[in-house]
Amino acid sequence: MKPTGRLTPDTRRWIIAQAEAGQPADALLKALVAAGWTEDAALDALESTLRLKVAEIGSRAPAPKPAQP
Amino acid sequence: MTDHPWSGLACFPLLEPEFITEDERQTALRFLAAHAADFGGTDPDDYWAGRTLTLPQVRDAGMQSLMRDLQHRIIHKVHGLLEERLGPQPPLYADVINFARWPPGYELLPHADAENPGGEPHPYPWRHFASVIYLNDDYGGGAIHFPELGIELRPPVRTLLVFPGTLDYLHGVRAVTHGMRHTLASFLTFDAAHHADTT
Repeated sequence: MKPTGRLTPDTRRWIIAQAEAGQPADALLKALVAAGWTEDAALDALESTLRLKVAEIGSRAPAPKPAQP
Repeated sequence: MTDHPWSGLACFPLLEPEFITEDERQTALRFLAAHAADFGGTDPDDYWAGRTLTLPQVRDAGMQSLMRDLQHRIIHKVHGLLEERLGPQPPLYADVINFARWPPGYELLPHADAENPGGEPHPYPWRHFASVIYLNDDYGGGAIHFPELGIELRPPVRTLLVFPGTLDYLHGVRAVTHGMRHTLASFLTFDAAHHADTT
């Protein structure tokens, strides 16, 4: 049984802020593990948060205009 | 608030891109276009009237088969994900699976699918997980948002979104501004008493 971590809104915000500041994923992984997360749970947290953020950004992108003759 | 082991699990909300194939999506869209009348009419006094079509209401054997297959794939996905993280899990069942359509003007205020704030009784406390498959993107508005998590997005078509029914996952849908938003929604439960037979 793999231990789990609880992903709070604060942790999500921290992950996004760090990623936007240019921190590489392995640095965030190490930071979460150092804070007591298991590596599996930290990887879940990073993947879920960043995947949702990318989808969120994609949602805001304007739809491509149809080609004009 | 119930402290389920899966609530707050770092993988939720789960966003699984390309969960269904493009062929499956087109099959669903063709069905929806051909059977729009089966939904019935909307009613300003009945929020869901004319907007859902459950598996037993689908009068197309091929579509029923696809819905059952998708339901099994969703259960397999979620059950496997839970076992990976929490160890052996009891069987997970489908409560309901239905198409949902969202005409312009419809929105859904933030709520949880199995719990109410303040411990008020919820009509569907057995709904441990909700899942949504996104079928189209030719509509305006309609983003799903999780106010407690600071997340608001419109998942790409073919994406599966899964999240627990607990208050940690309060969610709503922004008003659709134009077009028709189509999704395939289902609820999963560990409670066999609420197992809707989809075999």
